[in-house]
This record gives sequence, structure tokens and C-alpha cells, in this order.
Amino acid sequence: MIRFLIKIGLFWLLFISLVFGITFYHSQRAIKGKQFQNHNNEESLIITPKNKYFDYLILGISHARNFSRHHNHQRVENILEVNFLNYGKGAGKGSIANQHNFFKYFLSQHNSTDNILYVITMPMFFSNKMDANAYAYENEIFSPKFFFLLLFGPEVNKGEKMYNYLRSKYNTKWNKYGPWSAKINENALSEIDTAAISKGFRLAYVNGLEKDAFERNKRYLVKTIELAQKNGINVSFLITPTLFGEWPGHDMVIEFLDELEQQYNVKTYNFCCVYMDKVEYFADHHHLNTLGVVAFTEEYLKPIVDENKKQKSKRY
Amino acid sequence: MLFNSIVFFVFLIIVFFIYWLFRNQLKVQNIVILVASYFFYGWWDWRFLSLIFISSILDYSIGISLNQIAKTSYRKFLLLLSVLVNIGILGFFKYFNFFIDSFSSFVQFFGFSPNIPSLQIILPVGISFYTFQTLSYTIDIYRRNIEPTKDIIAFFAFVSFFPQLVAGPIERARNLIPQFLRKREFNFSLANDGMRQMLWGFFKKLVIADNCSVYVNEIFGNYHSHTGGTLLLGAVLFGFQIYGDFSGYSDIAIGTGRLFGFNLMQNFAFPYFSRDIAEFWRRWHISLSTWFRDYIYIPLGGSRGNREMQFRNVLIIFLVSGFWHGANFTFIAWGGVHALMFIPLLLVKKNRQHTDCIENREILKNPLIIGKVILTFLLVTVAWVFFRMPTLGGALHYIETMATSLFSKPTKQFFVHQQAFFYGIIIMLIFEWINRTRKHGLQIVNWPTIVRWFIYLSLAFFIFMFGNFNQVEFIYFAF
Repeated sequence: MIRFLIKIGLFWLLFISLVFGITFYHSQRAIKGKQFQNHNNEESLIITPKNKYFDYLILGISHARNFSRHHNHQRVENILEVNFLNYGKGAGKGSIANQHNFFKYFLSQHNSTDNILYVITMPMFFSNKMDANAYAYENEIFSPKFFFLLLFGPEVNKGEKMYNYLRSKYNTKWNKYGPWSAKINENALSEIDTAAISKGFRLAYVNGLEKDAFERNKRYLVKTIELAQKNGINVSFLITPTLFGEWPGHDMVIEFLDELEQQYNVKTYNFCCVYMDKVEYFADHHHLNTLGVVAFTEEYLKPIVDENKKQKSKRY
Repeated sequence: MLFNSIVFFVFLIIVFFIYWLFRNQLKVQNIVILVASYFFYGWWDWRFLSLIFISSILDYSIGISLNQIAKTSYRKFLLLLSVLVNIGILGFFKYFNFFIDSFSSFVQFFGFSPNIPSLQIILPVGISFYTFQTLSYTIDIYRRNIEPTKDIIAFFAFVSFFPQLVAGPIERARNLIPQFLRKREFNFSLANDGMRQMLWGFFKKLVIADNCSVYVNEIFGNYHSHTGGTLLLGAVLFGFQIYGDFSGYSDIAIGTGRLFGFNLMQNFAFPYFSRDIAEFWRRWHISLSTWFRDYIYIPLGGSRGNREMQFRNVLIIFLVSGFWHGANFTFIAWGGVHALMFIPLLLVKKNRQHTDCIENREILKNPLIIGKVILTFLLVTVAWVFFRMPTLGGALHYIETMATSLFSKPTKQFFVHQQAFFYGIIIMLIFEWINRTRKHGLQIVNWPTIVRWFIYLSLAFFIFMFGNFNQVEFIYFAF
């Protein structure tokens, strides 16, 4: 029996080593010589350095990513006079759980920051479908360290996500994967289309406001705050503008964020309704375009960042 | 619980350790198997455990009574009772709606409009398999071929043994019950070979069957829009899908049984290397074919009697076999087509021409034998169309289109040769050809260690890379 178990154990050890070795090789080969930067791709691991300091770490989904998309990263850094790393993940691949895992990876690489700016979008709390997206990690480079963080970290549909994370490195799509700065969108909406808003809601909330997803994501967000505070990092929440104002579930999330403020002293900056008449600032009904990002950064974000700077200088 | 799921993987590890923890306590081991088997089945739908329980308790009691009673008429009555209850349950769950719908269509043909309601009946997974298994027990006792067991736990475990509960092999009591009654020691070679067989089964299921199914579903689902070449491709792929699926399941089942010290019967003996239809049926779903042979064909007279009797018996056996697969005329037609291909061999007394595997020197002497293998494969492939299509008319139309536009330009290219599973099929054929005299395609126990390990790891890696992990159900779960 012992001989049999040793043999099975050896088989699995060799098999896992083989899978990890070949996957790592494939993963690295595809990105060799390509210049990935925060503004020209949507992935988190590839732009995570080692032993580096950032003034801000931005977390969230596509609305966070917008601060880097379309070369906005440089613009926002210049306006705010800070450097930041943006983990915001769009295209339905972002979730509170994976932002937590990326943050853990950030720390595991001995990076540091003083502030997390967590861009909150209400659908990220309520959708089981979005949380379970099996392809959330498909374009991330393969890192054994991240693989184990994922294995033991919070995640929904973990098995399938981890499997796709590994197997995606053998796809032709991965071989062709590269910086896609060409995808710059300068579109501006001309008018508000209520039908498009309703359609967008149906996509974002496939099964309405899912309570189980909300409760789970609340727990994951608390975990992120606790991890940040354990590492001396200040967390702030930011709600970006939309043309329709409040997302479904807004009040439930705000109530929860208020509780967090009391419990953990984390501030929420709610700007959901500030640009409801500024159609020209939007690429669609809730994503700011470059003009909108620049205006929002100058008008609303800069005062917050400046205030944080003042607080920091007071501390020292 | 599906073999191709993480849940089964965890379940197997837990049961394996608990089972061997009690290696000197046969009774406890049997209880572990029984509980595990009911849990395994109940994971799918616990309500249907009652059916297994009814079949088990009935046949256990009848088995003991049959042995105690000498009076023939009373013994016949008990056997009839077992057959009626078991076939009655099977008939209700599997064939009730078929008979109602058929009757309704029949009377409509004569101008009546009956209002006969059909029932929403769920087909309990594996009912055809365990029903036949438990029936063989009472029939064998009635024939005084075996003694009944008084060990109720062993008997219940025999009926519900989880590796082969839902899709066979349909074990005979005379093979399996004695294994439940004797002390089982952990056997390194047996367990090792079991693992090899499981690996081979997973390769066939996940790489070949489940990937073929994507193309098969597309081609069969839209057969109107394809030309003959594509339809032939669809039928060939279905041939590999059903083989990979069913023989893959059997390999996993037999391999799992070996981990627990059991030897289950071989269910497939490389049927696609058959030289004629008769040989194919000696190699395909062996546990069912031999069941029909022993319990229907031979009692009907078998190959004794005059020609007409022989033809009748062959026809009956194939039609019943087709009907066993499903409550649809397409399955009966599938059985009928095989009967039509078999009867000419019977006519010229060549139905037992090929009882052994092809030998290499046979091919060197007569290379045309490869042509016979290919021809048999093509005949079987055409017959699979009846098996796969939902209606008889659809199947006939499929075959007609396949024949009339075989060389027409395809309306859609599939580039199957660019898919990994295509190479998986080639790998499968090579290994099964090399090991065709053995029990499974990966019985490479005498090969050098380094080569063996290279093959194990490569196959596992191939499964990881190209397997379809969408937990596609096994086709035979529906039967």
C-alpha cells in the first residue's frame, strides 16, 4: 500500500512540475520583448514590479481601469502629480475577490503604497455570474506564486478559473497577446439613450440584486481593508460619475460603505451624480471618456489627492 | 456523481482510505462499499435509491426462497415475480411514454383522436444496468447455476457497487458476489493496473469523446445543411465519440474496482479492429451481449434448430438489444440493421470465423484483412446514424444525403485534422492496436519503466491540455 501511495504521489508531483514548468515557459515566451505598461493592457501581474513604491494603488473594475486606458494613465499622473499602479480590470473580468488576490500579489512582490483608491461600481457586488467568470485570469502571465495565492485566496468558481489560467497559456490567443495601446477610444455620447441604459442594467445584473453575492462580496471587501490596514495602507472608496446617477443597489452599498467608515475609518467619495448633464464626458452611459477622465481628475480627484498629501506631510 | 468531476475525485480518495483502513474486516469493507455506493448514486437523485433498494431486497429474498423450495411450479412463480417486478420498474420508467405515444400514433393512423396523457417521468440513471445485473442473480439461482448468498450486505453491495452501478459492465453474480464474500488484500499490481486503466479511460472520455461531441452535435444537429462528406465525417466521429465515451467509462469503472481489490469483467475488446460484424459483437459491450446470449438467445434455442429458427433468434436478440438502449424506434432500427448485417454471416456459417485477435503474421500473409477491418468499421458507422438521430425519418434522410452527395463540395469546412483530439484518436488506435491481445489499451506493464512513465505523464498532460472539462455526461447514462 505504501509503495502504491508513494508511486501515486510521485506521479502527481512529476505531473504538476511538468505542467508548471511548461506553462511557465509558454507564458514567458509569448511576452518576451513586448513592452507592457499600465496604460497599454488590462492585466495586473505583468505590470507588477518588485520592490517599488507607488503613491496610489487603484482597485476596481472597468471604471477604475478608465484612469489608465487610452493613455489616461500619464495624463492622470501628471494632473495629480503622483505615481500609481492600476489593477482595475474591465471586460467583465474584475471582481472584489480577484482585486483582493492581486493586492496580495502586489504585497508579495515587496511593493508598497500609502493609499488604495478603490473605485466602487455597484454591479460588482451583486452579480454571481460576473464573480464566476471562468476566464478572469486568462490573459495574466503565469506565476506559480500567484497560482498559490489564488489557491488559498478568496474566489468564486476557483477550480475552473485556475484551470483556465493555466491552460490559456497554450492558446494561440496568448501567443499573440501584446500591448494593445491602439485600442484608444475617443468616442463621446451625443445623447442619453434610456433603452441602452436598461440593456446595460440587464447585462450587469443578470439575475437582479443577488443577495448571496452581496453578502459574499462584503466579506471579501472587508478582507481587503483589513489586509491594507495591517500593512499601514490607507483605503478610500471612489464612486465615479454616470449619466444615470445611481446604479441599482446604490443605497445598499452606500449603507455598507458607511458601516465600513465607522468600523475601519475608510472614507467614501461619492460622485455618481456630478456629471449627469455632461454627455460629452462619456464614452457610454457610465464610462468616462478621455475628456471626462481629465475633467473629473482635475475637478474632483485632485482635491482628494492633495488633501491626502497634506495629511501625509503633517504626519511626517 | 460523474467520474469526470472533482467531486468524484475527492469521493474516491476518501472511500479508498476508509476502505483500506479496515483491510482485515470484510464485513466493514462491504458496509463501506454499500454506503459509498448509495451516496454515489444519491448524489444524482436520492429518491431513486428506493428503486435499487426494492430490486435488491426482492431478489435477495427470492434468491433464498428459490434455493429452499423444490417444487417447480412455486420456483417458476418466484422467478416470474422477480422478472415482472424488475422489468415492470424498468418498463415503467423507461418505456411507459414510448408505449403510450406509439399506441396513440397507431390509433391516429386509423382516424381516431385519442386523448391519452403521457407522464413526465425521469429516467433513473443506470436502471437498465442494475436491473439486468440483479435479474441475472435470480435466473442463475433458478437454474441452479449458483447458490444464493445469505450475506445481505454483500448482496446489496453487489447490486449497487458504485464503479459499475450506472453504466456497467453488467456483472454476473457468479463473478462478483464471490469477490464480496472473500477477504480482500491490497494488491499492488492490481491497483497499479487499475490506475493505468483509469488514466486510459479518462483519456478516451475527456480528450476523444467529449471533443468529438462538439463536432457531432453540430453536424447531426444541422444535417440538412451539410453534404455527404461532412455527414460521413459526423458519423465517423460519432463512432469514436461513443466508443471513447462508453469504453472510457468501462475502463474507469474497471480501474476503480481494481483499486478496491475487485476484478470486473472486460466490457470492450477493441471492437473497431473487428473483421466482420459477428466479431464486432463479440468485442462491443461484452457484458450486455453475453447477458442477452445467456438469458435470451440460448433459452430461445440459440444456434440449434433449423435455419428459420436461427434467423428468428438472431433477429430477436438484436431487436431486443436495440430496444434496451432506448425507448425509440431508432434504437430498434439500429438493432435491426445489425441483425441484417449479421444474418448473411450466419447463412454462410462464417459468424464464428474470427474468434481471436488479428495476428501480425496474418496481416503479412493477407494484407486485405485491413480492408475487412475498415469495411466493418464503415458498416458499423452507418448503423450508428440510427443510434444518434432522434427520429427514424431523420436517420434515413441522413444516410440518403450521405450516399447521394458524398463527393459534393462541403458547405462548411471543419478542419478536424487541426484539432488535438484527431491526434488523440490516432494515439488511441496505435496503443489499442499494440495491446489488442490485452485487457485494455494501456496495459504496458512489461515496457521499460522510463518509457512507461513518459507515456503516463504525456497522456496526463494531453488530457490536461486538450481534455474537455465541461463535465459532459456519459452517453450510456441515458440507457
